[in-house]
Amino acid sequence: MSARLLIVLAAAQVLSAGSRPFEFGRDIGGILTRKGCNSATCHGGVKGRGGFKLSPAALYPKEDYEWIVKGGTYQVLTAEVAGERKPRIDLRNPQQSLLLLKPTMEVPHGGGRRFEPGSAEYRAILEWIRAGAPMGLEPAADNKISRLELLPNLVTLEAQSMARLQVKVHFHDGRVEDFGEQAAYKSNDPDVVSVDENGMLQAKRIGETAIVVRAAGQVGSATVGVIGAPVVPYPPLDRVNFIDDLVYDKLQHFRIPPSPRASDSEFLRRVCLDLAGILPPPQRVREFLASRDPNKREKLIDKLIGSPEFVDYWTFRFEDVFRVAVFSNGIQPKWSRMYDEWVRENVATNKPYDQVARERLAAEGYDGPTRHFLPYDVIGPPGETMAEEVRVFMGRRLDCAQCHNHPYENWSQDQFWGLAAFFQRTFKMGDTGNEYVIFEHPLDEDMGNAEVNGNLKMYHPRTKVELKPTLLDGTVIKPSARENPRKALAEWLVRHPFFAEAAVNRIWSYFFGRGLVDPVDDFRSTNPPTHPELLARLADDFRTHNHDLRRLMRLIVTSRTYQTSGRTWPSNREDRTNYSHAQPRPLDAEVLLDAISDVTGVPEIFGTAVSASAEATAQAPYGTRAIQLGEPDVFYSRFLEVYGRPNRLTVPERNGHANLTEAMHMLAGPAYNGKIGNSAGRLQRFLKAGKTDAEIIDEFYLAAFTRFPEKSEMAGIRNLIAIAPDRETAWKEFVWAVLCSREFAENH
Amino acid sequence: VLSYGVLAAVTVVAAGLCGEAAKEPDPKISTIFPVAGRPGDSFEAVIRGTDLEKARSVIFEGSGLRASLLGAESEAGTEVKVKIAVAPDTPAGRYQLRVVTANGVTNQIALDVLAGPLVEQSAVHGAVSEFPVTIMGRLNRPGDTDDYWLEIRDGVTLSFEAVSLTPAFDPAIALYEPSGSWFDSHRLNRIAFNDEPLSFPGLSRNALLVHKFSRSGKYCVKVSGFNGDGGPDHAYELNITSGVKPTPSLHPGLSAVFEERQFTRLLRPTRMRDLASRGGSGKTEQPLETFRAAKEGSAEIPVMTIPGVVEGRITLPGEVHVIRVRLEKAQDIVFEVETPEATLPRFNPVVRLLEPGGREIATDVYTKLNNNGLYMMKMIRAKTTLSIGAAGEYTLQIRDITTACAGQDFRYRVLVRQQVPHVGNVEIAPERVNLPAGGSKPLNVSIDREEGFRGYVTVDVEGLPAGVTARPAFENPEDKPPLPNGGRLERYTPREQRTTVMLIATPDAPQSDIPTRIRVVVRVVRDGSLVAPLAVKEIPLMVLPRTTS
Repeated sequence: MSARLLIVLAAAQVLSAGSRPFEFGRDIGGILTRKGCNSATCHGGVKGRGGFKLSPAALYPKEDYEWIVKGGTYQVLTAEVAGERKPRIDLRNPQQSLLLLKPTMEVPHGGGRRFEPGSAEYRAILEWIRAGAPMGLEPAADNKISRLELLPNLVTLEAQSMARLQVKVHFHDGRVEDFGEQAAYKSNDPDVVSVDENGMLQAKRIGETAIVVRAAGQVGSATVGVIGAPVVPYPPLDRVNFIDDLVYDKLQHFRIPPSPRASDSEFLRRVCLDLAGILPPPQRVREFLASRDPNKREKLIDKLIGSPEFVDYWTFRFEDVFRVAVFSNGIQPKWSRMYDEWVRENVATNKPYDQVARERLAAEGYDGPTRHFLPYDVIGPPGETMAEEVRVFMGRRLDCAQCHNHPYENWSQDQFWGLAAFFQRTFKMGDTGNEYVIFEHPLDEDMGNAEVNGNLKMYHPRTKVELKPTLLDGTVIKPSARENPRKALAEWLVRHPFFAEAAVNRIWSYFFGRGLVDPVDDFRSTNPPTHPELLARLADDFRTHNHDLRRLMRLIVTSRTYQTSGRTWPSNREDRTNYSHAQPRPLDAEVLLDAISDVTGVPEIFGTAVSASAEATAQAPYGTRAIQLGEPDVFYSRFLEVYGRPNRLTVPERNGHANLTEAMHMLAGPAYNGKIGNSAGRLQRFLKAGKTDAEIIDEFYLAAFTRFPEKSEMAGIRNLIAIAPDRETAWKEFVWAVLCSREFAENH
Repeated sequence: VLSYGVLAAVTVVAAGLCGEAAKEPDPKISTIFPVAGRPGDSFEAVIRGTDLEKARSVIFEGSGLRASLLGAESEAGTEVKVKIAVAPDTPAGRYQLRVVTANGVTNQIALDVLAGPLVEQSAVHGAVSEFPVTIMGRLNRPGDTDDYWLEIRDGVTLSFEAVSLTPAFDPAIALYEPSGSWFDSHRLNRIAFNDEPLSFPGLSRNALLVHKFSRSGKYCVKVSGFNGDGGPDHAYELNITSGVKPTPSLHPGLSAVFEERQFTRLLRPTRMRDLASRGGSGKTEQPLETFRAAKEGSAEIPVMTIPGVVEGRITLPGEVHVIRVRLEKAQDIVFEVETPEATLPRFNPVVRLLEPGGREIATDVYTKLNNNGLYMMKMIRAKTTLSIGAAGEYTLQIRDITTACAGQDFRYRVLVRQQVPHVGNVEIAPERVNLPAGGSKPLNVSIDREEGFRGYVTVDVEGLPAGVTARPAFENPEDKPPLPNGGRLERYTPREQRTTVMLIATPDAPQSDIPTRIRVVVRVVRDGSLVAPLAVKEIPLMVLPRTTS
């Protein structure tokens, strides 16, 4: 046995934590994790910090060890070390090691004081350096960490109570070890539950949040709910399908009573906006409210699903997700139109969603779905294209892993580039910019590459290793020379559990204003679903029913959960995530503009001119609704820009946040005032026809709010009209007030 | 002397301050409406355009149509009202017309003569129920949509075609049924739509929609402009016929009698002789033998000799055809690709020539790098030239560029032959000349020198009117820097050469009342003699009054 090995073994003995031999990754890496040194905002970030790079949560202990013991400046785009390597520890004078001086602020440190001299962490690091800074034992190559487990994973806390989280690490060989002292804890909402560095939870107020734990290179989360006082008696629950079972079970668990069933007018307005993006006309509202048919809601749902308005609306929805826009589809209006027609056909024929995904992912040739490979005028970079497909169809954001291992997730840079390699041979054929044909360049054919020293191969940006198409689980796909590898990717993707999960979550969000995972395309272990079992059941149901979107929507809107009122009890008012009551959602810009046009009876004119004074060279046909416009970059609308129509240059995230310009638009914008005063509009027609005050009020309430006015509202408005010096102006102000109300501008 | 000098200087400065000299009028026409007439009809029409002041007459290409001017033209020079008479025996077809004005002769536009029922938009009242019918309409403003109601019996199949006679207008057709919806009982619901069968350079932008009606009743067909385009030049014919009108071949038309490098040109059995007649030595007039390739992986791979044509169809996605090419000696060869049925962008034939070891030595895929050298750009070309360094059996491989597209109409013909030096495409411009007395106008002729053609080409201008002469001239050559990262461009492009003939009118040249048709004739010189013309173009020329500016 060599003398050196004897020293290392002796040091390991000295440093060993109880019965366990010393491991650098766990014992020193654990301190760095716990103290936040290797977090994304510090040395665990993309570029490291101050040239010193650590892997997130000590994911790669050997690399961390080298950066500490050998030193050197980290570079992002290459594995080469910049400059002279100066160790960050001093074996001859351990207390003068940078690794101790910096976090104790004995020399200036941008990250501030992380621990005190003499603290347990300080002493552990000092002892390690004194012992010769060994690497210690390394896990065997075939016995890597398989997962991080938090116990309990779902915590229910009474108000002001406390509990402790346990952090267990599972190894491939079945061993499970406690990493509680080598973990970093963070609460996603400290106002609901706080957590200290020992994993102790403290309930703050009623609500729910996730506690994120990073340890041993892994990330995990636990859901913690703070419950209120028992509700006695708990209201009887009317369950229609499994959605209600799973939502109500959790509500009961958290002692939150659901609101009553939505009134007919609440339901009618909500379901029309959600399924068709349009308000019901007054006559239909009257009929529905008057109907005594116990099945009228189900019958209405069946009428709406598949209606022409449904096709328009869901085409608009998927135009957003799939980014139908001139600039996103090759800068050729004809191409974005081809692509749009494909989207429309998918909706109109209720094409199974897995088929839609296959057609888009594996598209070749010159048809509609191929156009999405041409953002601006070029084939998008493989990494960006892949990241978008994964985001759209799997609900995951891999973008961060392009440059580094994902800081909050278990996505590695290798996984990112392995998936990106599926798109490395996607080419466009054509010269002039209006003839591009999308094709897969065969592996074994030169096709003129030698003439320009062209290379089809793609390399890992850091390691420079040649990339092969590799699925997330590490399976390398070897398509035959002339096979389109994207076909294999598409087949894998639509069968992957993420696919159905992401689809149902996205659709769910359209009906409830938030996904079971929210944002809908940000699934990660640190952003867990509010209702994991419901998400799984919905995904399973979707998968086993041929990825039928209409069926999924029907399942959702027939549930009692969807049909819950927006009115609240004191005991459920604070709930935002458990569907105890309907949450008001701002109407999307296009839907709002269409609703204003419908209520005022004045269609919007959409021209290509970008200002009111300029002459439009083209104009959408009279009566075109905003949701039917297709591409956002053909017809200009100041209203739509102000209210947040996305340009679709990236996957849109509509936030619906109000802004000052909207308020200005309400006061002075033509969409409100021009339409209200239009001589052909609903108000002027009513006035000319000599309708009574009550008739006018009723009609506008039915058109805008899908309900009759309350008696007090009717009396108040009639009084205001009666005392106004100018009746017509008073009516205009009434209509303006209706259109500017939250009740109108929101779906609730 | 001083005062005159100052005056001259002031004049020059003043002229400068006044800006550019007045623009020479250039009469152009854009549309005629109505866009069609029937044999024996006489009807009033309006021709729209610019610089149409002092219109004198309308001239038609061919016989059977006459036009007389009606009243005064518009003050702005944008309209000419005419009365058109179509002789009863005029065959149906498309007729080109020009307007002759004091500013010269215009470009030409088309007027259709149709044999079937023809009705103007304003005369359509109620639902149309008799087919065939052609409705002539115009979308006067942006956003306009023309709606026509139809009364249809169940089981009927109709074809709807919206034909634009001007390049500026791209029509679309949509078919609606008044089935209403829960929200709007009067809602028209779209049941079919067509913008054009395929949007691709060189293909027609006319819309064609075929629909079988499963229910009797009223339907609405709407004609609109792409993305809401509209205006007074947006005139169309809406042809509604019973049965299925065949989809156009999606084959771009050829712009000249002889096209060298279009996938859709015919590689005739006389191809070698055709090329020889364009400057070849005359020793290459061999007949072409036809061969069939085998599917890749077949036990037996056929062998072809050159010159020869290999024909086949890619009927299954990913299918690859191969044939061996026996070359007896080192030589310069060509492979030319023809797509007689489906063509780009549906069928994109990749042809590769592999040496006996399997290495690619040439392909019809031209590859270059983009300007910053970051990525490869690829284009398929209909003709590839190359030099073969040694005799042997080479392999020709043919497939579609995608792994997904195939069909019975994915038919190819690949001609492999020896190189024949010749003149390829010939272009002559402009298409009309309005020449002021005392002035001059250039007439440009460009030729493509193919496969090492080094001979002479002559240009003659015949039929010039009195006072007009044609003289060879040098033009200022364009600076064309070589493409960076341009790849093997020479394999896929000819050497282009351009010459100019200056048309010069003397100050006292007699003015034209009607255009004179001059002829530009391009011939190749072979063995010291002129051979049959490669290209002949007739160009209307008018001598105008001398310009005062």
